[in-house]
Amino acid sequence: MDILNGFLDAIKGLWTDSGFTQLGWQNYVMMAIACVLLYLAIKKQYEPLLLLPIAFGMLLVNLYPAIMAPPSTEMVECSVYEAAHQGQVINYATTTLNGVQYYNVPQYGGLLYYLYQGVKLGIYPPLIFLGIGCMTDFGPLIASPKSFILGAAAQIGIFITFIGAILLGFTPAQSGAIGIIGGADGPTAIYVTSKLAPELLGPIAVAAYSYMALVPIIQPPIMKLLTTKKERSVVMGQLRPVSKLEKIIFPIIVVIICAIALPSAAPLVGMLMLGNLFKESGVVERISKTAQNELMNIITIFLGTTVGATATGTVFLTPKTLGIIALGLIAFCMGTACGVLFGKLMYKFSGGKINPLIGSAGVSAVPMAARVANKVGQEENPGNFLLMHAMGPNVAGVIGSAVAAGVLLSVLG
Amino acid sequence: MGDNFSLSITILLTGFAVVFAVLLILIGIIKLYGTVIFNIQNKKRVKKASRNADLPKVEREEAPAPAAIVEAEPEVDDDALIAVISAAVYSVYSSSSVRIKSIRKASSRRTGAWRSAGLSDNVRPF
Repeated sequence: MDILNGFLDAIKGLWTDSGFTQLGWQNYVMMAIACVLLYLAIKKQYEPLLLLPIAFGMLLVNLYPAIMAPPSTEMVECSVYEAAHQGQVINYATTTLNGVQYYNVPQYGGLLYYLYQGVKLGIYPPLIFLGIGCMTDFGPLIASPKSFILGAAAQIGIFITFIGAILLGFTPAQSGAIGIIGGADGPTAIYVTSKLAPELLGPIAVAAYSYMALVPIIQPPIMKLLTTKKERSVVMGQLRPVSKLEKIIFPIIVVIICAIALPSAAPLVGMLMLGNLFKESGVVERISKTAQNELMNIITIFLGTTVGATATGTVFLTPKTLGIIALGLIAFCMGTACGVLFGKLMYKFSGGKINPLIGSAGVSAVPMAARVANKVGQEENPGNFLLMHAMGPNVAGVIGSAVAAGVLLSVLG
Repeated sequence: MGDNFSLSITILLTGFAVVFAVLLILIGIIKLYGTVIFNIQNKKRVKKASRNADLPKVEREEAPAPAAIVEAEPEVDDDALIAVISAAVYSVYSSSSVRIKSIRKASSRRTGAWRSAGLSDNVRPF
């Protein structure tokens, strides 16, 4: 009989601890969203390197929320603890309550909580930038420096959305973190949010990475709406060849200018340019390969999974979070629109030599935004190859969003 | 609310001005050093060219090698073919001073050495 009771108690305990009784409806909704994102990542292949770990992290944390639990302490009566551990006295801090002495037994946090510290402390974003720097060819930007204007124009969305967020009742620091989603640069968004509004890190990171993954869906309608068929058909002239020396000098000059003008942008721009110097110098090939492959992959796994794991149902499905997601989308659309509109201006001033579509690539999201500009251009003229021309504003957008982040951190931080 | 609104406008103006200012400075510096480096490297190239004066100039301006491609792909679109040949020539000479005057199909006599080298390379195992 005792055995049967013990068995039933064990089953009851397992049932009580299981997800069937612990999880709320919000967790199930988030699991469904995670499955949709997994579908988009695997079947549609929308930025799978990011979307897959994010979606799986989201699924995991909603199945088992304790995986993101912070460390805590549990008070256990000293005599009970020692009896359970064969009288072993342990060096834990003690608390005395009503004459009874308790051990403060440490309870370790969940696995993803520890991995998340790299996000929370702003460590992963600059390391991701290091890898991006190693993979980026700034040649198109050096060949056509005016691309910087398009990279800057696409950042206007950040500041316009800032106003929108303020008007909706967010604090200035929170508004700055929401606006940076418009830069379409995941690491920058995480870095700024971790400094300005850590409480919004989850929704902002998920929004930033989701919109980056959805660039091929979000951007083309805006690009087509703001341009004429004639403008989209412009075939741009060949870019001049860029020498190795120019490519080596570029990261050094950019980091000096940006770090002097905006010291708060130094960690992001500095690591980006360090990675690029690894690549262009050609003397540290081993380090360059490690930074752009192994290191980048490891950080992407940690960053993606833990960012996804911030999206627990109870935190995520609130009007405030949904407002952030909506504002982020507006920021992203505004960035694209401003880039295209400046592209139109450059089209006019250049006498029709610049295709305004490349302006949309100013919203970082490298290289997806440049690919989208190329694809939309080819829909009008299949022989038009805008990819290299769009890469200029695209990489300028990375520098531009880091500079914009520096402005927000300096003024609001 | 009024304070927040004035802060918003301040951020908008500051952000707009600083981002554009920093990037415009970068444009100026990149253009400047791009020109300086281009001129220095061009001078070096001219010096080198004058030292190797025995190289016939006509050969540099024309592109005899791609003739083999013409033979291999006789139905290729002309524009695409010119683009491919131009790219090959520029990548070989890595200089924008090279000018392609004409592209002519080489006679089979001129490609004889290439053909026999290719043939011998392919049939050597047999």
